Amino acid sequence: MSTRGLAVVGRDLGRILQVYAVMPAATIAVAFVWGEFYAAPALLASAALPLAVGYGLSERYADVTEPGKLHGMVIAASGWFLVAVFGALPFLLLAATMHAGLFGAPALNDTVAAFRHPLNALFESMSGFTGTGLTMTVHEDRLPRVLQWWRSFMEWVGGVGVIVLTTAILARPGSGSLTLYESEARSEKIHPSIVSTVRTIWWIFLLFTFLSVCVLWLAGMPLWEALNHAMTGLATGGFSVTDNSIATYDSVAIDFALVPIMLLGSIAFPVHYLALQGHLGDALDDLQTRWIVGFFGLGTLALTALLYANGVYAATGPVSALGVSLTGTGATVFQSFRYAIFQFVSAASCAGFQTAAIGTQWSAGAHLLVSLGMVVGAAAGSTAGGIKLVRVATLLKGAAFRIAGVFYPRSAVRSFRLDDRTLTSDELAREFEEAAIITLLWFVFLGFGAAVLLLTVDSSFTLENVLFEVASTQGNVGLSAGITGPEMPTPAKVVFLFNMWIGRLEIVPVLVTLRGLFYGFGVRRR
Amino acid sequence: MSSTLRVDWRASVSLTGRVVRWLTVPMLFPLALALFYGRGLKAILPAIAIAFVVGWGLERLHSDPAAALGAREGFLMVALTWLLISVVGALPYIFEGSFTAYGATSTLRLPVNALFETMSGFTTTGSTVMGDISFETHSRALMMWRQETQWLGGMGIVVLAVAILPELSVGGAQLMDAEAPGPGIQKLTPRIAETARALWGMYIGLTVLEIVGLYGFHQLGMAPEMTLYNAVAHGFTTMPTGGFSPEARSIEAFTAVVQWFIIPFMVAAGTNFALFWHVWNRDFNVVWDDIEFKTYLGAIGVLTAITAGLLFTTPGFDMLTNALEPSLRHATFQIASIVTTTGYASMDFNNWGQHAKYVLLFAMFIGGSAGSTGGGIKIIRWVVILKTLRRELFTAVHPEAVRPVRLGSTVIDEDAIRGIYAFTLLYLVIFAFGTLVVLLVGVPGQELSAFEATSAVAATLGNVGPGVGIVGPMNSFLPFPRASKLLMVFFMWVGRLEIFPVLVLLTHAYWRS
Repeated sequence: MSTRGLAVVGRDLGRILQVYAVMPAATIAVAFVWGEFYAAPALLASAALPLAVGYGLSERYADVTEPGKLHGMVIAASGWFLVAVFGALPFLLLAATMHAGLFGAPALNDTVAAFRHPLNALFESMSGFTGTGLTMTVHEDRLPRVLQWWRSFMEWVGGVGVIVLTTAILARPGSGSLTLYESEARSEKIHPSIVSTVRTIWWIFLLFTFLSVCVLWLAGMPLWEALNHAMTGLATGGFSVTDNSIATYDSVAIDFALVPIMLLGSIAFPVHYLALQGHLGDALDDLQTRWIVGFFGLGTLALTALLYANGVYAATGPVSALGVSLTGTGATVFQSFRYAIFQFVSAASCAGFQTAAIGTQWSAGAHLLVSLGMVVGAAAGSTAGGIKLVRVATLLKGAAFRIAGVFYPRSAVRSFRLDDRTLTSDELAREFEEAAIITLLWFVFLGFGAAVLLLTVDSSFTLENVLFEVASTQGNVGLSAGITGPEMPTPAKVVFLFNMWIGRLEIVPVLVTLRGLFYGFGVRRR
Repeated sequence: MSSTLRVDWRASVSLTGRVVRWLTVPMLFPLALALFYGRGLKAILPAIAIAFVVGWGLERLHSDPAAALGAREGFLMVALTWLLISVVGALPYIFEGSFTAYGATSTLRLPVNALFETMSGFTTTGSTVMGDISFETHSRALMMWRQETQWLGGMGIVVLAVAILPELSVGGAQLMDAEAPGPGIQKLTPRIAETARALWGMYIGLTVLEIVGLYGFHQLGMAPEMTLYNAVAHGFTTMPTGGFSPEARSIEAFTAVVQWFIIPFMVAAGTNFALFWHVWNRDFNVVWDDIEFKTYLGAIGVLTAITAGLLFTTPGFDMLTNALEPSLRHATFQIASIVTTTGYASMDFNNWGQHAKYVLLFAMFIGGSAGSTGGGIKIIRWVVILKTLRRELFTAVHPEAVRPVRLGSTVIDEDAIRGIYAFTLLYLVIFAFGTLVVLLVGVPGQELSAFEATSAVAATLGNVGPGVGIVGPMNSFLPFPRASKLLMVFFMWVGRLEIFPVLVLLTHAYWRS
């Protein structure tokens, strides 16, 4: 990338920041609704700063050309990071306001005090915009309403962002991404496809959010909490406004109400689009959607069996659901199933809501089974994280194709079916290689994160705790075995920031950007 | 029936039978020891008889198997051979446990354990289920058979067959390709049988050199425990990167001199044997230019430095803390042992700090060089993967660019690259699922941690040998239930044959058109 390329990146980052500035500005309304007027100056400053920077950047490079797909990667990777940096401001400034007691702010409590440290604020913001849900907040219910909303809002917008990312920006052959319109996948211009993607999905997203709020409210959640959990559930983010995540409610109805919401978030949005247009059959034919059913089903069954065998919920008292009261073995089976389906769906959809004390109560096998769900993830083109099912499908089918083809002569023409597309050997080879590279990189960075954690965190955490936590971070899930928190060592926080970032952007764009930073963006051999 | 099948399985089985019949020849060595020591005859002699009869019987299935040997038959033959020799090779353990009074308490009298031990032997893994490693419950003859299985498996049974059986000189290249470690074989000579002979020649030479050296230290009074028996026994398991030892304490039983002396032989065993061929032919430039060799030495060096640093600085460890030579020796020995997938232990590394043990677990995934006797994923694959990742970062920005991946001066075929990716991912997938299953099955009456299960699967799939915790170097795989042991037998088998030759057999397209 030349200096002209850098200018394009700069101009687009400027535009992103200007749009972003709407977020803290809109949050001022929440401050007024809840009477937290002291938060307004902090939010105003958090909006003004990115607006000014963004305006400066876009004015400075106003006359550069439109970006191509190649710039898209660098813009996406650096944009995500930059937005996360500015997203830390409300935490930082509000904690400072409360510390100084300005504008009639209430006294600083321990939970908010953690955000006086910029790294904690950045962690929370990155966790939000990447839809992870790991948190530096000890007691969510002691946060000001404004910050509760800000965390949910970040995840909700980050959810839209990742759909745009995978369906419009990273959509290239073999990236495993579905495109909304075939023609746009081939276009070299990036802006039109983003605009049309956002236009198409924003009403789906709003509609689903509204439905989710209603469902949760009917299941017995207070309205404010229903709104926040609907936003973070659909975005498969996993931030919560209650102290113990969803375990706070200990309600069968709420557990089962959240499962379909998380499922909605893990199905590719182009498929939702098809379904809502009335092409239900086409939507059900989608390979990833079918794999979600199989994968989630199998995972839930295995986890249920495991929890039952381990006797985790053996000593539970009578449980009643839908008017039926269960006791003894029936109650144990039901409880095992309830926690298994919730936690496995929460893990594989990368939402990260928690109802069980995984780190302390569950066995090593259960840890690893849930970690498997987090590493695989759900559909590309949804808000979920992980390696994504379409890649797993490409890898498995490609490997089988390869093994079966050992005895064919090199010149033989064979075709291969993936989903409803028919690929030639060459196309398959390219898609396979792309999927293989991402998957392998995924493992490499999981290993890297685990290594740093093993060296830095308290040695009372076992290997399964560490693997679980890193898989959760890089898969943008947010389940925790108890390692993440404000007391976490600084190197671990830094490496988690990195893992969340590369996990969301599917690694390659971040590496391209970092390589550019270190070696320059010029076209160079080696 | 054979009209619908595309595989002439009779030819494959017949050839397998020939290998089994020839297995009686190396069994003559423990037989001689049994006669010499006057113990173990009841174990070895019936096994030889059965091996001969079974081999001879299977051979009858086809009149001219070598002529019918195509690619399909070759895969089947290689996979079957490794399975069958492990079954036949397990007989002496079972017989000694069943027919002798002193062996009645041997854990290997149970067929599953005997099969585990033999598969671990031939695949040069070195994981053991022998409960009491002593000459009380096992004859010296049987102990030597255990060592010898590793030596036979190291350079490859099929390579040996190609070297000595003239009828395999035509189809031998494909057979060796299916068996050889690493992606593809390098032909050293125009004729494949000569290549096989050259490989075995260098292998035998290095083994003899080590035995002479070890026994020499004994003669000089520097290694009192290293008797002639022990020298031969350890010579048999170093060059194949095996790791079995008739000493319960493995190499800890010997002096520091012996430990230092074994290190270069382990490193040599993990080196591509083609390099020794070039050295033999005074072609030194090839060695210096070999990127795999440099990476291999670099990996051992870096990991050794890290481990030695950890051992040296970890407080509270009398033997190692602030003791330079022991820290350096045990770090070098253990890293060389794990990276080359040998599996010897110079001390019980279970007692090391947690961080040093994590380094060892990491080292299990590197593996030896292609064309060596080492197991694991292999250095060359990691080199190619790293190079393609660098290319990916370039082509992500410049999709129109065409950049071949080179190793030295040769361009690597794109199809070979995809093969490497497919292998590495399959390896990791089998590893991950294997760990999960072993963990879920658990160990009766004991808590099995994820770290222990991970290391057990990594050690068997990578043909390394010992893991940590309950499968540590001074412990054994005995506590695992039968299902887990059989699963690990499978891991050792697919790990040694590098997955594809076994998986191919499981596809429909292989058997029928």
